[in-house]
Amino acid sequence: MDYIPHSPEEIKSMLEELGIDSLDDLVALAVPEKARTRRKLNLEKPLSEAEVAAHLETLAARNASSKGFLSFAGAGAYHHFVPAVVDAIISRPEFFTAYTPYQPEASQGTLAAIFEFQTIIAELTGFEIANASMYDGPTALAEAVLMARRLSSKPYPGKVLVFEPLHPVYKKVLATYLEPHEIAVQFLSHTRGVPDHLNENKIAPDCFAAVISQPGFYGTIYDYRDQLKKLIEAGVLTIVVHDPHLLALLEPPGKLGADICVGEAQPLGNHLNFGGPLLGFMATKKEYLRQLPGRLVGETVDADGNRVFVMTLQTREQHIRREKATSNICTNEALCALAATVYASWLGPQGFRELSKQILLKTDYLYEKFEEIRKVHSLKPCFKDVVVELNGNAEELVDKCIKHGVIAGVPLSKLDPELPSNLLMVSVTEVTLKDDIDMLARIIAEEDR
Amino acid sequence: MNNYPDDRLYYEQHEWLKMLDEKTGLVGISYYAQDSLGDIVYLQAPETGKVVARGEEIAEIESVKAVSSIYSPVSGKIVEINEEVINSPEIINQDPYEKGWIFKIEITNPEELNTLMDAESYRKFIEEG
Repeated sequence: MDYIPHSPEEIKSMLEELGIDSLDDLVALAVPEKARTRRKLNLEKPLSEAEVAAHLETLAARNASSKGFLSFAGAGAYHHFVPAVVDAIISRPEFFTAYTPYQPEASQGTLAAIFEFQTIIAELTGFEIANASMYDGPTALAEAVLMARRLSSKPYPGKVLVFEPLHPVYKKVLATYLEPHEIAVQFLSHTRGVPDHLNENKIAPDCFAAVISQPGFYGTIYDYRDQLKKLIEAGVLTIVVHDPHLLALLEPPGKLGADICVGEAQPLGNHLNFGGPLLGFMATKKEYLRQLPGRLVGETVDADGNRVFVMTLQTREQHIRREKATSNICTNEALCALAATVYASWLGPQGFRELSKQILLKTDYLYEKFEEIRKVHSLKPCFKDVVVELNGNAEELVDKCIKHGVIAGVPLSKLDPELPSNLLMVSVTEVTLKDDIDMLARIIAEEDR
Repeated sequence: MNNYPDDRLYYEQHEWLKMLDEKTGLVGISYYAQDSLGDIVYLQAPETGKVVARGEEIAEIESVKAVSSIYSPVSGKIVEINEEVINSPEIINQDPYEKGWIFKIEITNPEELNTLMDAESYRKFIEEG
């Protein structure tokens, strides 16, 4: 189906205006001889709509996904159950655009939903304010570090202390964002997933922020309260990367005195969608409001006294403040945030906690089961992810398991080539059954030699 | 109504400076600046004790329309902040020249005063855009 915006009459009148006889003559004038291709383009013959659909379906069927396979792949994005109400609501045409609307106040429904999202994130993280969402967890972390840079009075460019293990993708994105600012990243080493003791003397005088991950990349939940206290005493702004489900089970960062909490909210009501889009969240203290990147929806009253919602504090954003903006993010993940909002509302506080507890118990079971067959690399307790030491190569094992209809996990060397090739990250959620875990253990015992 | 009182000097970034004695002066923003910004909703406090150079950006002022920087019209040390305008920034709209002063500065280079505009020149400066 061609779409050519100009009618033959219009083309004729424009050519006459230019004093040119044909479109070919126009091209001859506009494109130099040597830049033109004379031969026919090497393209396959055109297909009908039905043929294209069939072709794409054939290609799609070659993918292994969490549908049709038993999947233990997680490592940052997880296969959770998404209640039907989520897709039913987000598919309504009023919501089904991922973009923050222009003239946003005309879209009160979208703003109300974002306001609810902010409220849910603020409640979960224990903070006073949360923004309308970020692109994903890693960019939310990078933005949080830049926000801390703006807040801190320590000398420029300064340093960030990252508690290992942090997800390799988060580290890469962080490095990309920090490089132009010449901010150095220092790492606190770890033992089997738990960061080592933090010696106060090791905190550099120009260290303005620290990044703590809960759980750490190896899935291990750890108590970071002592470290947090030392960092706060040293005038370091603390950023906690947190799993959203785990927030329901632990004292949240906002209540522990941390400064910013960020993370990946895809697990809340968003399908894996073959890797994206994801959903970053960010919450902080009210006193930092004016350095918070991204959009913010506020509640107010209109001229008639009705409760309404507005995009607030836009004066900090790039389309108004240009190079002095708090960030170059002038949008949010509105549709994904809506999915998370419907999901969390549907579960309710008690349901959210029960579900998170179920994930914790299932991870415990996975841990115990794997201890019977192999060495578990992560220390306990773990949440969603557990790292197992295989006898052989993890990538080869994953390939072998596919023929059993099982995606066994994510080989860590795929995320960070410097990590040992025998480490496999196995992930569970509430959808994983005890029998599934038993079966995986059996298959691994048999296939990993 | 005279929007640009004669008892003070004006800087090209639309700040005014009123000397209280030979060393210290008050700084605020001009009628034109507050009028262009519209309703002022937030003023980020400059740091007391901070040593600043002429033309240095020292604070931010936010209205419902925009966020702008406030510059120091002279070199010196910031010795006092008007807490009242920090708490109620709308005072700057209501009374930019008296209650709406923003900070007090101890000047280090009196010669810089000669580079500032008097009310008459500032009025022309605005008219010429």
